[in-house]
Amino acid sequence: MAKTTPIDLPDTTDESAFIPIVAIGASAGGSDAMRDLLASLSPTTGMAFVYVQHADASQPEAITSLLSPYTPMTINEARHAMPIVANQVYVLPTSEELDVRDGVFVRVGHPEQAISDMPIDRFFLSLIDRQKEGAVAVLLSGSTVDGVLGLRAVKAAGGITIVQDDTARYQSMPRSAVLEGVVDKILPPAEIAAELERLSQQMPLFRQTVMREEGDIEPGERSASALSDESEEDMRSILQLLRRAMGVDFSHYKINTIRRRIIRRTLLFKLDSLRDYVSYLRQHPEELVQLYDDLLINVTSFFRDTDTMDYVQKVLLPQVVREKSVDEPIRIWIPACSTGQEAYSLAMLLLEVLGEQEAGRTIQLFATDLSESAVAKARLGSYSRGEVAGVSARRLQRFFTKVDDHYRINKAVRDLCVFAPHNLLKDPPFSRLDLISCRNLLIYLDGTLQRKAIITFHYALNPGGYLLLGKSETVGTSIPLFSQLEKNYKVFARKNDIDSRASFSMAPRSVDNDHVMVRPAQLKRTVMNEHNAERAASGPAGSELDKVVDLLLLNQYVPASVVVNQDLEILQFRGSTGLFLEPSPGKASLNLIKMARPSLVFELRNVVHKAQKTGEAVRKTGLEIKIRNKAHYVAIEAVPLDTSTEERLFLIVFEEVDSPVIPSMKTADARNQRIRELEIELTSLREDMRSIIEEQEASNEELQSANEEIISSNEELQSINEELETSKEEIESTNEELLTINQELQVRNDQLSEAYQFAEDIFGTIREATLILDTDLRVKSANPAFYRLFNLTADTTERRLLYELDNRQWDIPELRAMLMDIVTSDAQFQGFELSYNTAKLGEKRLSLNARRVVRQKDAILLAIEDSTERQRVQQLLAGREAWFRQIADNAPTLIWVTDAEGNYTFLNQVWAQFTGRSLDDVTAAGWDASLYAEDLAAYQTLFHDSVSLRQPFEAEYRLRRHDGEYRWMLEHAQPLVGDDGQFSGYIGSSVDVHLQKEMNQELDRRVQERTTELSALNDNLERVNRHLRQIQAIAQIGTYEFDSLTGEIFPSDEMLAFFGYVHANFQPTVTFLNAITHPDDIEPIQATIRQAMIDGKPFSYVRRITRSDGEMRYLLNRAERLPGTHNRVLASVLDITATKQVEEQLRERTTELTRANELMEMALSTSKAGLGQWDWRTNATVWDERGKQLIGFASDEETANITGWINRIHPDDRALVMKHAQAAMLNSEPFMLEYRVVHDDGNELYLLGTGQMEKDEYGKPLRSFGLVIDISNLKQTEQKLKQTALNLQAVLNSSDMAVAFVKPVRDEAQTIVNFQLATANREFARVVDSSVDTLIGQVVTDLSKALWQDQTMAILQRVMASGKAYQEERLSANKKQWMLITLKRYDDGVVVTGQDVTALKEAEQQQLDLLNQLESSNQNMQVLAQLRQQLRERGELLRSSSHDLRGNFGIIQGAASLLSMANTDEERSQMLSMLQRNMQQATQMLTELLDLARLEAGQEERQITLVDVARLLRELADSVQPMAEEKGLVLHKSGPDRLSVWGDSMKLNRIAQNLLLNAIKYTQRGSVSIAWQLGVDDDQWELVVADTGPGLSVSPSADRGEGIGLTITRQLCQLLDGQLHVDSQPDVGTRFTLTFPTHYAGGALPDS
Amino acid sequence: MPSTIYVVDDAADYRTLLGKVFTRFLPQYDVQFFASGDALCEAVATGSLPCPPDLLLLDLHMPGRNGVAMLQFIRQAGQWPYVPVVVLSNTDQQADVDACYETGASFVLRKPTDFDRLVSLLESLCHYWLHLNRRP
Repeated sequence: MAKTTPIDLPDTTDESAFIPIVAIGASAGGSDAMRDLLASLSPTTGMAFVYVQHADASQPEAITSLLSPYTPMTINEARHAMPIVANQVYVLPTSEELDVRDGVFVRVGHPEQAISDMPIDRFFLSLIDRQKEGAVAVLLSGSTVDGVLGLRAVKAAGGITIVQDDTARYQSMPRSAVLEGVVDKILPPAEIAAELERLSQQMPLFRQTVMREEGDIEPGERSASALSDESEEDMRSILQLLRRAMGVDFSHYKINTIRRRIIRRTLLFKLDSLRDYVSYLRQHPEELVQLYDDLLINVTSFFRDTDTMDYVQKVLLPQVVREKSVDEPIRIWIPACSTGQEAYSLAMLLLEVLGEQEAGRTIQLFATDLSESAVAKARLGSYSRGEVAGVSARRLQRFFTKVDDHYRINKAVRDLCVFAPHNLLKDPPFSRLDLISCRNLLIYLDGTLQRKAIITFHYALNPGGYLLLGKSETVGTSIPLFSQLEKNYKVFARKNDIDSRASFSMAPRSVDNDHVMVRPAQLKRTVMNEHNAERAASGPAGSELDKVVDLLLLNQYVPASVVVNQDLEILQFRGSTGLFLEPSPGKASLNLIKMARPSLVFELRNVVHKAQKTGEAVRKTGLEIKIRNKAHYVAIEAVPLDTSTEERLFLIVFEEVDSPVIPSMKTADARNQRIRELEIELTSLREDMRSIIEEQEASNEELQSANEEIISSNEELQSINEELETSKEEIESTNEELLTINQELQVRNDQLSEAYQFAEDIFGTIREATLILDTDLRVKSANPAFYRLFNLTADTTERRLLYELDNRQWDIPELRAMLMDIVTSDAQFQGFELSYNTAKLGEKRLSLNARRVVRQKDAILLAIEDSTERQRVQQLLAGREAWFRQIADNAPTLIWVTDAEGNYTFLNQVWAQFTGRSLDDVTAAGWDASLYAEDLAAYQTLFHDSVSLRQPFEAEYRLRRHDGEYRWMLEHAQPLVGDDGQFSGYIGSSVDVHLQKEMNQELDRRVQERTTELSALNDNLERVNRHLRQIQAIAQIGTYEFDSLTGEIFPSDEMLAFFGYVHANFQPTVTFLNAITHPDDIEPIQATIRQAMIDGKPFSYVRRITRSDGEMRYLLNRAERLPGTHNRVLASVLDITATKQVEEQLRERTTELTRANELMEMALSTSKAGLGQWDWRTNATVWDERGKQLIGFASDEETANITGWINRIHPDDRALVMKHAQAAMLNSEPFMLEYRVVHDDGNELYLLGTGQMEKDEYGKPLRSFGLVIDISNLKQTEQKLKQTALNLQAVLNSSDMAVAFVKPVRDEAQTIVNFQLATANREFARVVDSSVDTLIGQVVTDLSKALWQDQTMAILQRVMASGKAYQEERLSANKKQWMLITLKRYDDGVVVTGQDVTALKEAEQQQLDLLNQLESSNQNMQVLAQLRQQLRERGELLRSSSHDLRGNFGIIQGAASLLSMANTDEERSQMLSMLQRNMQQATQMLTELLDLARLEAGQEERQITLVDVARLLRELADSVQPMAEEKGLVLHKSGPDRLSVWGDSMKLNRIAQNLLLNAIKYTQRGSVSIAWQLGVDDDQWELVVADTGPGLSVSPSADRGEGIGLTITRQLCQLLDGQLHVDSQPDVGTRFTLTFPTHYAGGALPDS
Repeated sequence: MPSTIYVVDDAADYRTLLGKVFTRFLPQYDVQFFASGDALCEAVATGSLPCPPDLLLLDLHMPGRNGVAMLQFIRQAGQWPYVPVVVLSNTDQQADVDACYETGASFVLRKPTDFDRLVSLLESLCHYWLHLNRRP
């Protein structure tokens, strides 16, 4: 508690010491708000401001510097031991926790201690706890829930709480405070400042809120306090008002608390004094409720006072639980529970203590409070985050459920607690309790009430029950009633031996609402209860005597009585009812029946019932109750009360009476009397009972019906709920739709705006002035062009009538009429011409168009075109045209104009005058008539050509003048092309040139005459020339003249002929001559000529030229300077080419010879041949170097004689050589021989010598030329080859295979005529019965007998040509031997091999036999499988036919039974036909089955005859044609006209019929076809039946009847050695292909 | 409303027979006949049938859609999953019977050859399926 001395208004000495502290809390976004607040705050409020910034915001230094510019006040950072000075701002550090004690900041806790995460709450709480002086708490923007608890505490302590309104940037913090209901004002920062200033101005009053030290001051002493009487008086009036309104007397509450809170309210209403507040209260009764709530505000929290709670959990509650047996309920009472935290805390602790044992226990936790709003909140059990800050996480998780931002007490905890509004000091207490926890209530009460409360607790507790008080509370003067168990924790135990004297004043709880005026109908004096103890409260001092006396009397002498309503709920107590009533266990109840002593219950109910029925007082006496073994006799009386309310009330009066006198004398009278009394009583009891029972039954029924009604209404509610759900969904869907539509509309709107914008833009941009008029011809809008044109503005135009515009310029009746026409008849007009004349604009020609447009309303669109300019241009144009005509007409030429097609469009006057024709005339007849006939065609061609090309042209022609004379005219015509390049016609002008023309013709004639003369002269000259040329040609001499200065040449024709030119393309210049001259000749020739020019001597030179045909010629020039000239040369030219050519050939021949020699030399040396010559006449020999070497001459040896050669020859060969040489010599044949020579060193060489003899013309040998070549190596190789061939022959001979190699013999044309045996071995020789030696060289045709006879050559040639090997196996007829003969081409020949393969053949034959055996066993297997298949099929067939038969028989049975029941003939006949049909079907099936059986038993035999199946099938098809047509099917037949085969016609018919009928039967649409034809081989024929039906089903049994038919067909087919192939596809069709032989073995015989 | 029965059988005589039985002995039912499964499917497809029948008597061996195919059709999703289908057939093949049950037949019965037994069978079938049996 504050240690400040009591402070009060007049006589306070240290007034200055009191400095009100304004605590301001803020979190995120708070500094802005604080800045605004400070900015608006006066620096002289006399208050100190402590700013608590949330920890997660910026540092204090930063805040200090941030805020200082906004206030002149000093801003300090709060530090330990810093005194608080008025008009200063303190920023609380976040690093340590500071409290304010006695106006000084004090550090609490250890610096290292963790800083609370709720600094605002902490500071506010500590401020209130320590300072307890009138404080103002302000909460600004923030995003946490900090500050709520603090504000509650401030408010509870009488401080004023203000929070920032929605200007807060983060609203969570202020808003949660508002939701908590702990806020007095909600303001923006500036107004908070204003409010603070206002509070500071009310300082005197404000100071009254300062809590004074008053704990021990007795009420009586209050007059001695410094309070002014006036103030005291006001206080009392307020309390009285409160008591009257709320039924709670606060007069014994600690007056300072009350006062402080009342002053708080006063301040809030900006009232100056308590008196004002009193009058305010009188005027605004609702404020009383607010005040009442304010007064009852209490600070509480979960697990408040941790130490104590620990103790409770660890010691106290286990003790309580231990002391109670399991089946006894544990009862706990928490008076003044406020918003329930204490109650829930205890409930949680209890649950924790009980743990597992909780299940069976009954726990009753009564929590009561005076404030109904607090109780309501407690019942809700929902707390904010700030409020559950003190709850451990574990408990939070176990006992709470998080709902949105709040924590809700779980049901398990909630169910333990019973919350009720209850006045501890007045209402009857709960009883038989085990624990009462009443913390921090007594401090608000004065001594008297404290004592009363303690006594009540004592009464309510069980013997040994516990009382738990707040830290600063004690049992005070009631110590005897309780003993302290634990000093530290204020836990007390009830002392049992002392009888407390509890008394309860039974004032009605809610008199303020009903104002029930109680008027007792009957009041009896009764003896006071002996326990009637001292009265609860002493009367208020200074009240009227009457009231006091009345009260005294009422309290002392009125018999114990209660007022109850119809439900027997006690409304009021009077007197001491303790003897008769006691609170019932269980839920707190004021029901009379529950509270009354058990023995009274029955009678109480009875009397009340009677009183209700009769409306009179009913009394019952002589009831006995036993209390503590003492019997009391009681009389009760129920008195109905007349009240102004609907409800009937009863006054129940209890009276203790003397015990009934037991009659001591047993007289008969007395006995009789007693009997009578008893009988009467019995009668009345019976009566009572009966009526009660009746009523009970009635009410039972009522209850029943009510119950049913409830149920039904419940169901109704449910259905309504469902409906609501449905409608909700509908609404949602509608909403959805609306959203969609809205969106669509939005899009449409956008489009519309866009379109409108377009329209506007177009309207604004068009150059025509446009007006929109409404139907009254008022201008709705006009476009800028209009304003521009008429020089008007929007102001003077819009919303005006059209004809009022521009000084009524538009008031044109005609226009108006037309516009009105548009309005009335939807007409429109265009091109209305109007002349518009104003002084301002001058005259304007206007063209008006108008039409109706429909926007939202009818409107007229009037477009005004300014045609002034156009008309002006038109006039100008007309003028110009007139000029032109004038000019054209007056020009001295004829002018005409055509259009693009060439038609005349204009002819000028001159033209007309000249020709005497008019334009019309020309247009009609053309002007051809005017033209001279000869010129016409040429002119027309020219004209049309030019027109088509669009070119200018010029023409001369003769034109007929008007007088008929034709005159020459010169005409120029020019195409007319517009600026745009468009051709538009011609313009032409013609001038008379007749005179000029005639003069020209005269000139021409004269020139002609002169020319004729000249040509005659020329002819003579020509003749002379010709003669000259003939002479030259004969001489083959060309002549020319040459001018060396000019380089000109004047050649004769002869010369040109040398050159290969004619006059026409010969250019007679030196340059040209040089160009065709051989380049080497040019320079010498020129030098010669130059020399000749100088010395004038004749000269000559040869010039090579290239003739025009490319041939080169040699020309010999002989020239001489013309006598008398210096530069002219006369020259003759002679062609000497032939001579030159002969020279050239000679030279070439010599060169060739030389080269041939060289070649021969080279050939000799490469062939390593030696060359020799033998002169027959001299016998001398000449050898070249290599010849010498080969023969064996030494290189330097003389070889002049033939004998040298002969001597060198090997002696064995010498004779042969000589013989050959002589023979050669005699026959003049060439000599060629191999011979050996022996060299001197003994080397022997093989030489090939050749020779040729040369003879003279008489046949005498002259000499021989010879060659020798060394062939020694060749000889050696030949030897080796011979050896190899021998070896090969040996190898071949050793083989047992016959081998031969034949080579082709070719004729001249290289065709092979025969083959010659090149090699053969012995085996081959044996085969052909010959010997090897004789064989070689034989031709194959001689051997063909042993080979392939006449085929031999062909085979060999084939092998030779194709290169493919030929193989043949052949059995020799005699030896039973198999030969495999192979022919293979090899190189240029064929190798023939023969091999004995007899053994191989035999093995092969064996294998073949085995294979055949295998084949036959395979066939057996197949037959078996077929048999099995047949068996299966037959089973299937039998089953399916038995199904069908069954079906038939079923129907036959049914039909037969129905036949007997049939009523009508029609029905009978229907049944009969059904019978018939099914019998038939059954019969047919049986027949078929029999057929099949016959077939299978082999009883059927085929009757083979020659049958024309074509005819048979055609007839069959014709016979089923009607059936097919009936089904709408097409029946195709195809096949040859005749097809005679061997066969059984009956069976074939059956087969075909079967297939056809089936096909028709099962095909629903499409076609059936039958076809027959001879097979690929002649010994077979084919029958095909196809349909487009559904196809054969997989399971044959599925189709009735088909199975058996098909089976019979198969069997028949088999019987006829036929084959049946089925090709079937579902839904496509089936195709049966049957193949039969065309003849059978012995088919000709009918019985085979 | 009388219960509706559909009969699918390709044998015209059998349909006539059943028709007679129904008109004579069980006239309280509305019976419709279909000459093949395809005819019924077509009727379903064209929507000419007013509603699913209360009972369907189905022959097993039929050209076109046979009984099993019909059952597949009827039991397919969205068709008549709960209509009782009684297969009446001359078959004695167990494989056929199994196939019917696998595709959702309610009953598979052999067509009685005896007329009295046919009548009593139809009576009990109708009684069972149309009166005793509870439909889902």
